[in-house]
Amino acid sequence: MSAFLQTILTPDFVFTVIRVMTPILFAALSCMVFTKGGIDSIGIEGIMLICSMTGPVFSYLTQSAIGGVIGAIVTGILLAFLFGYVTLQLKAVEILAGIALNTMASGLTIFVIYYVAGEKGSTQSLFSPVVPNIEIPVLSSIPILGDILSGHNILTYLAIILTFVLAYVFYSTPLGLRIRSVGENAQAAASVGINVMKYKYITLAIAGTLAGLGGAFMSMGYVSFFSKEMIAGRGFIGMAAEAMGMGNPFGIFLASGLFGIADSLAVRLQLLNFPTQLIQTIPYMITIIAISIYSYKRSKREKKL
Amino acid sequence: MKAIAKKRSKLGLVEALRTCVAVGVSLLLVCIVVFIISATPGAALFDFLIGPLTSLRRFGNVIEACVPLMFTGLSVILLQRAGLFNLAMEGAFFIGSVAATAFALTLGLPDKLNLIVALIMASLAGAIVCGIPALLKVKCNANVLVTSLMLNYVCLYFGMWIIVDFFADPGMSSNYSYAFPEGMLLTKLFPKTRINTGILICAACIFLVWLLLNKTSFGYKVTMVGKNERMARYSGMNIGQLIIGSSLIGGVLAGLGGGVDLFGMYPRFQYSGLPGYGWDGILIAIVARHKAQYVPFAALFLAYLRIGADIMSRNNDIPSEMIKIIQAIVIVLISAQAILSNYRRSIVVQEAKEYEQEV
Amino acid sequence: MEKEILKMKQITKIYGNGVIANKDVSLTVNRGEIHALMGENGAGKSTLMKILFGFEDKDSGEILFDGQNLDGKKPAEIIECGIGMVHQHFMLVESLRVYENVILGMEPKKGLSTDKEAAIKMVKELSEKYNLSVDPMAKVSDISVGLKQKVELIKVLARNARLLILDEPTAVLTPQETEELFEQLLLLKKNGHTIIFISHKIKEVKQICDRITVLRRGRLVGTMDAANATEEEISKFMVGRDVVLKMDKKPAAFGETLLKVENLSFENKDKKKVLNNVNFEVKRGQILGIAGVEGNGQNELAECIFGFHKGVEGKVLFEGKNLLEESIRQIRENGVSYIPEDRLSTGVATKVSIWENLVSDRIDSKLLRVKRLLSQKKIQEMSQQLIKDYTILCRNENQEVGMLSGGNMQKVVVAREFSANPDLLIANQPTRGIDVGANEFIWKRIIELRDQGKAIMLVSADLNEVLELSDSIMVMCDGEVAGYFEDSKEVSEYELGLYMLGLKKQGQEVAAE
Repeated sequence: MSAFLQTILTPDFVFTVIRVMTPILFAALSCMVFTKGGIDSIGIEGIMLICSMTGPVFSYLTQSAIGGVIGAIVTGILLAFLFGYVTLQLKAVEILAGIALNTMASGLTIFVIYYVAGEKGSTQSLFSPVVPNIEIPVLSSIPILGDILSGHNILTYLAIILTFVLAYVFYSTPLGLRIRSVGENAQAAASVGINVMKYKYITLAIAGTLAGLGGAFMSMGYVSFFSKEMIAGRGFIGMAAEAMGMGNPFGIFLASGLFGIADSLAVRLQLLNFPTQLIQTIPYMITIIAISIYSYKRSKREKKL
Repeated sequence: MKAIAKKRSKLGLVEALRTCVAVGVSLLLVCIVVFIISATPGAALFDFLIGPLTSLRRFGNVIEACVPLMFTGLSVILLQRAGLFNLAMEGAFFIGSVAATAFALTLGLPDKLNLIVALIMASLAGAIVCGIPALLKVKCNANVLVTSLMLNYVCLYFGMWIIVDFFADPGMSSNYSYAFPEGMLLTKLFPKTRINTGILICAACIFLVWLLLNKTSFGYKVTMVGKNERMARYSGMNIGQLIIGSSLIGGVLAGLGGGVDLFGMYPRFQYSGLPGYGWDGILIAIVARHKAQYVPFAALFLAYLRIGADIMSRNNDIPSEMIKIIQAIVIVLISAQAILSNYRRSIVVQEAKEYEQEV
Repeated sequence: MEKEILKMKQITKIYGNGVIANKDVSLTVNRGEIHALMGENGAGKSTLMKILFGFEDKDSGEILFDGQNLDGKKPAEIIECGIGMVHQHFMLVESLRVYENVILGMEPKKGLSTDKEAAIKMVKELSEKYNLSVDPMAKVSDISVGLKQKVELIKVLARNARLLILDEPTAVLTPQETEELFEQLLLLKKNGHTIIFISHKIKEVKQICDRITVLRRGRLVGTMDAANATEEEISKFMVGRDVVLKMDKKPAAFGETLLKVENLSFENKDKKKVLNNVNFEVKRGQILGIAGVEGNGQNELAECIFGFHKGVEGKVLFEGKNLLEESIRQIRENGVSYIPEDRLSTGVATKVSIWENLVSDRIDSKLLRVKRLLSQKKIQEMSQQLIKDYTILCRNENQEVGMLSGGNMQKVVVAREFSANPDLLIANQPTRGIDVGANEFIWKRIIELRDQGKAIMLVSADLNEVLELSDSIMVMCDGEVAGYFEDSKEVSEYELGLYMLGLKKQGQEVAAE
């Protein structure tokens, strides 16, 4: 037990948790935007995967990390629009279109890097600048706190900042209000003269941007290259974190943190001969239980009313 | 009046046409892409389209590849029958393999008996997995999509734990189990191929699912729940039971598929992640238009493309992953209601007119 | 300034399927009055208002608001002109706060942010000015229906509407809430607003309206001063019987009591008491017509008896069994059939074939099986027989039900429910929206069923249907039994109207006999 505590009660461990939760936070925030706009978010996994590929590719082509991140964001937006076109205009079932997007992503990424990098597995052979980690002045010199909070990737800080920005946008600006109303009751929104389609596409653009950033972090921050299937379910975990956080940006932040903790724990405990895989099931089980309890309470309340 | 009553509506044709258009468009796209990027487009396309027919072994590969696809396709048909998006077939297939492994290596029964018991256990494990999201939906009204996606990961890690901690062969990499006794593997049917008795189990399942959906009141009722839940309830059906029942059967099929694939194709458990057959099942179900009898054709379509693409990628400069792009396009084109909707409407109008004239 | 604020002249609207929704309807509303728009369901009130708002195109006619022609204007522009509507089904986003719903689409800004203080202040000012007390910070999902309506009113007022349209605002309110609403409406009137009040409750209309316009079957019946018109006169205008169909039937021969409903009460999910202590009986060989203006509990009464709802108080005794304790399946097995009010959502599954719709209640029956498996041949034979017996016009039994006409779709429902050979048939609006031929056919079948000694409970908003078919009539008003007439011939249509509209009510002891 003391070995266990020694492992997790270190600044190093908390630092890892923050690093590991970053892509999940991006994914969950993206899912939050999708959900608020009334669009199914199952395609997030595929959008992130493709963006994690286009990030390094654009970074290589422009030889700049910013170019790579912008490339990933633009890809994210375009894919979200493609999803929007297929579901809103061609009237495909959202969930099926999302699954199709995910399927396409796992093929397309390999297909593209085969031609760009000449190999199927990864873009390791390409020299692509990555997004740097930064030491924060003053903060970095504080013991413990500095070790935990300083020295992260720029995108990690961006994810945390965006949590606050999105909280602000959705709860304190007209844009957020309109997106939420379009997502929840499009008829009511239309009855006061709001252009529903316009706000659906704005939703898609924001969600696509966030997914793009999440993808870029994976291949330009977490590691320095794209490798196939590298999102590995983080988009889906984002969906779950969104559901667990009940659509609240800060709840989502905490839920993402929980997944980060579980993931980091699994790695640490492996070293201590704990059954790693069993520990990895915990966040998923908690999600299932939390969603069930929440849904049960809500349906009870609705029945009562 | 009589003549028109015999005439079949063309609307079924529209749906068939939709499938054909989707398949045709996606194949055409492949050809275009191959022509643009390949140095040897002719050879590449030959390998892709004709390759699987060029040797018995290759065609055997196609048939082998059909088996897991058919199982998950059938599973998806049942899971979605009641109108829910339960994606737990992916986890159920995997857990099926794990359960099969566990029981194959521990029971110590005579080989054939052990095989049967292991397959039954695989089915039960699959049923439990797919039953959970359905149960949570019925009892708590929890979103099936999210719970089933999460459950897939629980299955993955739980299954990996079982394999790694209890059955891992120290001589192999950590996710490989001990080898199964020879006699426990499914018997090969044809020389030079790995086609095995698993395909017979699969054929039986297709027949049983067809029977269930078309010849039993359970199948009829589940279908009605999916088509109009309110009407089903008003007709006196127990919605919760039907949802859970169809999910359990879907789980049995996925779990059994995991077991059959394992004993048919591999000497030991060796998955390192979720195999993805569950997701493929969605495509199979869509192409088969959710009818059990069309599942073999849909599976043959996908398996043929996969093996063709494998051959193409081995001999040429086109990666086989191209197939996934085709899969995506097929799913979107078939599920997009707006495509062909004008044509559909014109048929409806025309048939209504014809009908009025003749009556 | 002109005296009239709104002039709708000679509005005609014919829908694609040939239904005449409005024919030469003219409506003139004076500045500062509360103008009632009355008529039964389907009289064309909603269509007229949809045309005013630009949701529907009119075929001919002209609309002038404050001298301005509203032709070709989009709904958003019409809102800007100063017309606001409180829909019967609220247009509110449930998870948002009250003030957020009010400002949606016209948010005050401070920099990039919504100016929350200004918004809350605006809501507070409006609610004080018009005595519409709501908490701006409350979540809409947490507040009562009455409060939601206030939010809708504030929403409309915040958009500077001078003409307010309220579509059946009291339908969802308790009597106390209704009183409160009326005070607010009078206050609005005092502040110079004009109100169109859509309703079919005469007492309410008399209480607060200045003038009344009555529509019937898409046509204008007339406009009158509320002060001069008596309740009887208005009801005569509203509840006219347009005899399209007559039915001859043998005199009734009542048998034993089959269904006995005792002290039935039910609160719907909005916590409104939609059924209050209802008592009645249906005997074999009797068609009991349940009359009433729609939304007075008839539909819920039928649904409660057939097991649609949980938490129903009282007893529904059918051959000694309490149906409230049984599942729909058990209720059907006891010999009760049900024709639902809404055939598209409940009566049929539109995307599947006719035969699949015909067997939905009897798929477990041995008659459809050979060796425990469903026999397509037997199902086909049965379906073809039913299609023939009930003259369902269709290609064959494999045709999708969604492609049939309304009348034929209803015949599918009727064929299924009648062929189940029930002892009690509950027919909830059995002929709504169908052609005369199908209508006549269904009536004949209902009478045949009665002559076989079965009991029938007929719920209908169509007065002609109730009067032509019923042996006995029960009138419902506000979830209560307003009157019961053992012999339908002893009550005139005019008198029935008085009971339906709540102008008259029998004592409890009479209704419960």
